[in-house]
Formats: sequence, C-alpha cells, structure tokens
Amino acid sequence: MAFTKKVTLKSSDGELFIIDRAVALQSRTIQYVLEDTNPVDAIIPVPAVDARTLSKVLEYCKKHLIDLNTDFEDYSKWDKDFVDAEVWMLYDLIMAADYLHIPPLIDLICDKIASMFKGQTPDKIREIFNIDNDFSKEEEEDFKKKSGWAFK
Amino acid sequence: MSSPSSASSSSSSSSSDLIPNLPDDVALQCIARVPRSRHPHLLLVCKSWRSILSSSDFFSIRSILNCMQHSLYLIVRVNCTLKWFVLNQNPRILAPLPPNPSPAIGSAFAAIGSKIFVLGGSVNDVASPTVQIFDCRFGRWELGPRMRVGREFAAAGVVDRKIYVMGGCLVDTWAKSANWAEVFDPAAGRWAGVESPVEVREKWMHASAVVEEKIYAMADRGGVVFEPGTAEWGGVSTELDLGWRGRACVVDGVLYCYDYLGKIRGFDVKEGLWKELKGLEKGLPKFLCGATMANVGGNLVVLWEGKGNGKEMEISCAEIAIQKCSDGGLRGSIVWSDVILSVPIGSAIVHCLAVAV
Repeated sequence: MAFTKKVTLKSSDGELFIIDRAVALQSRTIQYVLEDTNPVDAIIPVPAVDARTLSKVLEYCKKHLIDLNTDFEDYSKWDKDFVDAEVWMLYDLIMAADYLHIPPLIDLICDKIASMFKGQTPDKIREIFNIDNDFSKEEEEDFKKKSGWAFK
Repeated sequence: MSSPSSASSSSSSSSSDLIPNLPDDVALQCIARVPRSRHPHLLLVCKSWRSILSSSDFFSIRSILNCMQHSLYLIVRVNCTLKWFVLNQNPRILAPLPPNPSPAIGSAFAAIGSKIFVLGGSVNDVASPTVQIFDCRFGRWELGPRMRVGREFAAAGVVDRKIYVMGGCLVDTWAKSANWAEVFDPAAGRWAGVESPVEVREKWMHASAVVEEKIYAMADRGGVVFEPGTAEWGGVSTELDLGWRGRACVVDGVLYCYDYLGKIRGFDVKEGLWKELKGLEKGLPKFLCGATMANVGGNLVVLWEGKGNGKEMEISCAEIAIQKCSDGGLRGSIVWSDVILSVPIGSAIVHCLAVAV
C-alpha cells in the first residue's frame, strides 16, 4: 500500500491545505476517508469548514501532534490561549471539530463555552449567547420564588 | 453577532433552540458541563433551557461526559421542623431545598443514583412505613412504595443499587417479625422481606454503614452485619462495637466516626483495628459537637455544631483528604473548612449524605 506522507484538504471556500498525514489523522472523519479510499495525492474536500476555521483547527492538530511530550502545564496554557476567542469563532471551531470528529478539541471548546457561564446572571448569559428571554415577568418572579434555590 | 463562516450554516438540518447558531446536540454538550451550583441561573435563561434542565437526558449527558459533581445534602432540625440544604461545589454555595412533605422523627436515609430515600420515621409517635424520595436533579419530592412495616430509627444501607432496611420496628406479630429486614429494588419498584435470624432483631438502630458490600447496623448493644450477596447475617466484633459512636461514613473501605474524645477514628474492617486520623490537630476545633460525616467524592466531609452570636448557632464544615500511610496509619489534610450555615439555637444536624448530580 502506497502511503503518502502528505494529505491535501480543501476547505468549503476552495483553499487547499497540504499537511502531514499524521496531522490529518487526528480527525476521525479524515481518517475514515483515508482508510476507505486511500487516495494517493488526491484532494479531500472538507465542505463544512471554511479556510479560516480549518487553518485554526489544523493549528490545533499540529500542536497536539508535535507536543505529545510537552508536560501538562504547557499544554493547558497553549489550549487556554487557543480558545481565547470571540464567541462566533468558538461556534465555528466547535462545528468544525464536530464535523471532523476531533473529540479532544470538542471537549476543549465545550469546556470553554461552559466556563463563559461562570458568575453570570441569566441576563448576562442571554446577552453573551444572543438568546431571547421568552419568560414573562410574572413567570420569572414565580420561578425565583418557587424554586427555593439560592441566588448568590 | 453573526457567524461569517460556512460551518454553522451547513448544519441547518438540526434545530438550534438552545443557543442560536449552534445545533442543539452541541449546545447541550456545553450546557451539561456547567457546574451544578450555576444551574439555578440556567433555569431562568429561557423556556428551552428550563425544559432541557428539567429532563433526565440532561443528567444522562452530564454522566456520560463525566461532569457529575458530588454535592452534600444536609438535613437540619430547626424548631421542630426539618430543613434541607445542598452544598454544591465550584463555586461552593449552600442553597435551601424544599423540605420533605411529611416530616418524621427518626427516619432512615439512603441514596441511589441521584435520589435520596427518606424511610419511615415516627409521625405523632407512630412508626410510619412511608417512603419519601427527593430527586436531587429536579429538586422535587415524590412518594415511593411504602415499606411492609412502619419503622423509626431503622438502619439502612445500599448494596448493588438496592436499599436494605432493618430494625426500628416492634417484632410483636408474625408479619413484623418476618419483615424485620426488607429490601427495595428500584428496578422492580417494590419492597420484599429479607429473612433474618431471631437473635439479631434488636429494635433501635443508632448507626449504619456499608463497607465492602456488607451492611453494618449498630443497635443499642452489639450490632449486626448483613451481606446481601450471600444472604449471611453475623455479629460485629467487640472492637467495632466499642469504638463506633455516632454517625459514621466510609471512605476507601475504612469506617470513620467521631469518638467523643475529640478524635476522628477510622476502623479498618480487614485488620479489625481503630486508627486515629492524624494530621488534623491544628485544623479542627478541639471538640466537634454533633459531628456528622459523609464521603463526598472520596473525601471525608465532617459537619459540626458550634456557638454563634448568642441567638444563633453555626454549622461548620471541613473537607478532609485522606491518605493511607505506608505504615498502615491514616493521615488527613484539610482541603477547606468554613462556617456554612447559621441557625437558631437548639437546632441540630440530623443527617448528611453525598449525591452525585
């Protein structure tokens, strides 16, 4: 079987990314494509991910491949900086990670989004995630009273 | 705030009721990771969030994602009523809970999964067979199937997701005698009698614990051990009987209790020996009044009653990480310790237990 060392990915907006096969294999979706068809020098389309998001995802894949020996501290610092991004960028990343099936990246971004709830009131959460409040004033007051939970 | 990328638009097939621009399954994965202590806020965000947080699927996902957190549930007697609280972690917040609908004296407590079972207790001096269940996920009470006999000050323990309850009832009739011990299987949803030898049927139980799939129940004199796996009954060793005082908990196969001399001691069932939990001399007050313990996610949590400002008393809490030393000794280090609650003087800690939610 002729293994190519390089793999070419094509983003939704037509940009080509030539990357090491090992980097691409971190995506289970790509892994299945490569195992199924073993395309030699073929271009693998990634129709669900645009170039900007794909380059960011590949940055993550490269880092996590190269730095397997890096100790945990460095690793988590890099991850923390990586997800220090605007909400819409996180959405794009998580959708891409979901489509490409890269579980550690999904976990990383979900944890980041979950951490954005920290210390936030319901109002603030709605603002961050652009959610409409569909409770009436009465319902809201009623829930606060009935639930008996502490709001601190 | 709109996403310029193609990634989110490509997923138009799945709905985005929870977070705009994110498919619900992805949004759910994010929301499920939020610490338990923040959930009251999430309930007030919008209707779809409220509905998802009120579904058992949400908690199944928390479990799959390994995001369940151990919370300490605390029951305090205040002016003849029982008050329930939960101490969540990260951030550590004590929140009041709705009290059980029919409060009783001397109920036994047991937890399976995310439900706390309150078993019997006396109402107007009559031992009740009522089972009240608190679903910690939704903060809701429900009634469970009644026990075959009324009980007060019974012993209870959970082995293999079944509740065993014993004692706390007079054995003056055949039916009461045959049901001195009984078992509840939540899967089957009913109680069944457990055969017990006549000589173990003590009436009052003052403590119980489960160590390595065996239920230890302490009566006024002596105690019994029951192993559901083999259906074997036995007596407890004198060593354990003499040393066990008050409400105990089990961490890593060692039974801990507070010995009234101001020490937390652990009983190693295999060695049959009590050992002092060392390393706490500086971190805890000299005497812990009303000490009650629970195993919260592998750490020993002890609660005690202390003096407050005259009209009120304080309930304090310490979380202790335990290390088994190479010489066989037990060493504890205090992870945190604080006053968690002020209640009127004369109040008392009734029970505490840990549940993962």
